[in-house]
Amino acid sequence: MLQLREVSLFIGQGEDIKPLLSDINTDFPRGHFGAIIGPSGCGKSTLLKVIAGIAQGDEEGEIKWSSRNLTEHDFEPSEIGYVPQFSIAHDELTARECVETALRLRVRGMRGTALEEATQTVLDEVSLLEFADRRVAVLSGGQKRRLALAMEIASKPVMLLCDEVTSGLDPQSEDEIVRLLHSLSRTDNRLILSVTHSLEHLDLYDSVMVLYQGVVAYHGPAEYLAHYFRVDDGAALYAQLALREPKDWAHSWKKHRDAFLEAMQGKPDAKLEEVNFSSAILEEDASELEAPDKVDKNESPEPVSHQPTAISQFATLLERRLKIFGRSHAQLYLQLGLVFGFPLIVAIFGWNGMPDIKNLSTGLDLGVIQQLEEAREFLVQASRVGSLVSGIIMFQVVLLTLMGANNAGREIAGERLIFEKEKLAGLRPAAYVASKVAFLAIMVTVQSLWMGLFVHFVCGLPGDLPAQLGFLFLVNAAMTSICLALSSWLANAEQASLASIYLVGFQLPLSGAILALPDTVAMITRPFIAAYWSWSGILQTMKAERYYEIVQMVTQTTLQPAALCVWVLCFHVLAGIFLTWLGTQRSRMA
Amino acid sequence: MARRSRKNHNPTWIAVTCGLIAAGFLGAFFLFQGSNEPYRTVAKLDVQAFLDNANSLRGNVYRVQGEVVNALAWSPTEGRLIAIGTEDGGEVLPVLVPTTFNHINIQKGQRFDFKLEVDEKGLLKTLELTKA
Repeated sequence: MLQLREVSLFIGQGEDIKPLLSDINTDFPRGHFGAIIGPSGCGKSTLLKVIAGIAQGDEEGEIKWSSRNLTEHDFEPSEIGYVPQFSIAHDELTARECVETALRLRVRGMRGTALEEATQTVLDEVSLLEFADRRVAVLSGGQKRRLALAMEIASKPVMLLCDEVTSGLDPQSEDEIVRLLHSLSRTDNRLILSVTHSLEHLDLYDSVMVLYQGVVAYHGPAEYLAHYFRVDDGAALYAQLALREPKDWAHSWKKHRDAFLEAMQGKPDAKLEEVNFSSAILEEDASELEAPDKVDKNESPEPVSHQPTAISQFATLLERRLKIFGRSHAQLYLQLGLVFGFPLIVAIFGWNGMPDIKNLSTGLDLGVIQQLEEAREFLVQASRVGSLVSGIIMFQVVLLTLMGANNAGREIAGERLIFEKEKLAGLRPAAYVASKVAFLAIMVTVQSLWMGLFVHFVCGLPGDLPAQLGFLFLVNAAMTSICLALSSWLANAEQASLASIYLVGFQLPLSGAILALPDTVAMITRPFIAAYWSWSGILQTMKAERYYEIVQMVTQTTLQPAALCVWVLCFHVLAGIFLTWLGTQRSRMA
Repeated sequence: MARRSRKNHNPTWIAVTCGLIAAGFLGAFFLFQGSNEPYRTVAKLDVQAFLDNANSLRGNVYRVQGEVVNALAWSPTEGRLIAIGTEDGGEVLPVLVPTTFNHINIQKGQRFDFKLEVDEKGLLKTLELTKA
């Protein structure tokens, strides 16, 4: 049984504190199908999130499941399913693949025949077998909701929270979904709570809770709703609610609930006798509230976790990511364009190779005029060659940072809701981040290797090639990693993408490769500019070459030792991964 | 804070981790920054003292950073004698680069870090050199 005692939720601080839910007291037994209705903004979805443990704000009160306090021992991931309003599955996958992935992420030992059979069963349960091999992108709204339900019931949760899963559906689809939810509540002794705007199928629910501005105005069988609110039908309910203050409704329900329910029980077909409707407990009845909670005999207070291992989750996610990448033509073509196009842009500037350098005479036999003439020519040459070498290196570096931003900017933010749902179902953030790192490492390696090799052989860029490839890899990895962190912290894919592009925009001016920065500015900004460290590191790989001094002659910016460059870039990579992991720990569903 | 977030986040632990990471980064940053001076453990040559009385420094090992000004002489057995301009006061010093460094091209205008020994004749003989 789910028990809510004096549950309140507040947002804001100080004088701006605002209650979203106030003193919710109610019980929901297992094997129960409950509706939560009320006008927009009344706290319906918030109540579901409070139950799921993902509501933002300050909570008060106590929530118990199977007599255990959820603050002390939260739901095991396999115990709870949360179906949000919008269908959240990857468009590139088929319905079958979505369910298979859900099973592999949530249930241990799901592979081979067991996985196949379980997938068939779940798809059959939600009547999606016919459409199992269709991509999510082409499923109808109703089919997508079925798929969302299928993914949630994969781990056979004993509680299913549905947040407006019928909104936006045509009447027939809505009818089908509500009936499906009803039938799901009759299997596995499952409690299903469904937030809905629709008052069409209230008779299918075992109980209906009416919320109004964060308070419970009614919680009982649907058939007594009209009587309690003195309205002819459900349609007039919201208008009636608006006639009184929320506190009056709450007070009224507290005051009349007992008597009202007793009166209801006297009726011949009283449904209350069938439904374990313990919300009739008066808040004032302290003795009952404080009495030890009854333990449901059929329920295990300490559920056993059947979560797959982190490695198994990592492998499942990586496989899914590669599959999605392979099927997304837009992503594929964009990557091909970047991988082959960007090195071409760089190579244009050094298509004829690096120019030869005419050195200054070191003998003592030249006259002063000849020496001055030679020095002038050398300066002109140094300016041209130095700018070319430095520019080509910086071009490679900046274009790789752009690829890095493109790699990771949307990676997490773009699928945040899917991740949040999977996290709630037991996905470990570490496994998720590791799968992203592994996938992006493949991208970064291909991009950096091709850039380095192409430019080296076409332009004849001098220096230690393996070391240069290493620095190109590191700068791409650093930017990818930092942008992945942005992606995990920012609210949506657009914000994350924009922030990533801004970050790339800062690289060139703040690197000091074109114009030297004032010392103070350089000291503050330099540690954060990956492009500077890579540029500096690559130039160090040319230390044995004459080009090294030539570049030094034309740039005012200090070059750093290669070891320091490697260290700073590695730090960027690791810091980015750590921040990404921290970002994935935060709940973004609320 | 959401119930599940509360379970996952321990601000103290996160702050300590961030602090350790920052400390590690800064420590390594300053450590690696020193690698810009390859012979930093060797005493710096007092150019004026050398010019005043080179013999008094015989047998000592020093470091010098300088820019190649000119090639003064070359011998297939002894190596190259070059003139370098030092940073301190712009004095010019003669430096012998033995044949063991023949693989390194030395051009006018290049900057090098030298590890030098004052030999028995009071001449600066290169033990090691690297580009600055």
